[in-house]
Amino acid sequence: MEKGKDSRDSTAAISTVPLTKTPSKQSGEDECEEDRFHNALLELKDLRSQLYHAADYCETAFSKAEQKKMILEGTKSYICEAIVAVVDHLGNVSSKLEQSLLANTAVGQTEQRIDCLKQRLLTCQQYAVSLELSSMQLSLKFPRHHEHYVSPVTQHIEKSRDLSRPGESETPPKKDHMAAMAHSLKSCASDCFLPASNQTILGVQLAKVAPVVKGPSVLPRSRNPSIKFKPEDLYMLGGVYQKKKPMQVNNILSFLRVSKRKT
Amino acid sequence: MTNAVNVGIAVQADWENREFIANISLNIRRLFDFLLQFEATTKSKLASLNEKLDVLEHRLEVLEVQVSSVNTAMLY
Repeated sequence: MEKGKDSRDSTAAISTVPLTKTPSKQSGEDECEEDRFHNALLELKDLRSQLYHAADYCETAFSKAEQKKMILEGTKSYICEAIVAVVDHLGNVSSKLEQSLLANTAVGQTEQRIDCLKQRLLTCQQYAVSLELSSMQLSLKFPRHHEHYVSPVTQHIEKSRDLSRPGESETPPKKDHMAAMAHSLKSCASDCFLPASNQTILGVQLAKVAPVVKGPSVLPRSRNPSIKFKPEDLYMLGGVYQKKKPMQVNNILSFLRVSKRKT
Repeated sequence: MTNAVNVGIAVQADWENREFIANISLNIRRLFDFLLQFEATTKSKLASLNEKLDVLEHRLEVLEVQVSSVNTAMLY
C-alpha cells in the first residue's frame, strides 16, 4: 500500500514540477531592451537547472515506484513539454536580442562610422589620383629647338604632313607632288646654299646645320613650266639681291617679255 | 500462450519507448547543432567585420599621412 501511495505521489509530483512555458513579463515598460534580453537569458539558465532537477526526480521515482508505466508516461509528457518550453525560451531570447540590437544606437553609430570611413577613403583616393595626374602632366617636357637650327626641308614636310593629317585621305598624286617638291628644294639648296656638303668648319658638320632662308619662297611653280629658275635668280634668293639691283631689274623685264609673248 | 502474448506486448512497448527516446535525442541534438553553428557563424562574421574595420582604419591613416606629406611638399 505504501508503495502504491509513493507511486501516486511521484506522478503527482512530476506533473506539478514548475515549467515556465512562456517567459515571464516582469519587466516593466520603462525597462530597456538590454535588460529584457539579460532577463530572458537568466530564465533560460534557470530552466536548465529545473530540467536537471526534474530528470533526477523522475529517475528516483521510476526506480522506487511499482507502477512504472504511469511514471514513464508522465516523464514522456514532461519531456515533450520541456522541449517545447526550451524552444520557446530560445525564441524569446533571440527576439529580445534583435530588439536590443535595433534599439541600440551603437549599431547605427557604427554603421555611420563605416560609411564615413568609406567616404573619406574615397576622397583621399580621388585626391591622390588628381595629384598623380598633375605631377605626370608637369613631368612631360617636349624638346623645343630654336627656329634657326631646324632644317627647312623637314619644316616644309612636317607642315605638309600636318595639313594632310586631318583628312587622313592621302592620295598617290599628292605623295608624288610632295616628293618632287622635296627633291627640287634639295637640289636648289645644294646649288645655292653654302653648307650643302658634309664640310667641317672647326670640327662642326655643316650639313646637319642648315640655315633658314628668310625671303621669297624657293618652291618651283609647277603649273607654269615656261618660267624656270635661272642662276641669276638664285643670287637674289641667297640674300645678296641688294647688291645686284640692275640684274634684278633685267630679270623682271625678261619675265615681262616672256609673259607678253605668251599672251 | 498468455505469457508469450504478454512478452510480445512488453517487447512492442519497449521498442516504442526506444523509438520515442531516439526521436527526442535526435531532435535535441539537431537543436544544439543549430545553436552551435549559429554561434560559430556569428563569431566568425563578427571577427571578419572587426578585421575589416581595422584594415579600413589603417588604410585611412596611411592615406591621411600621405596627403599631409604631399600638402607640405606642395607648400615648400
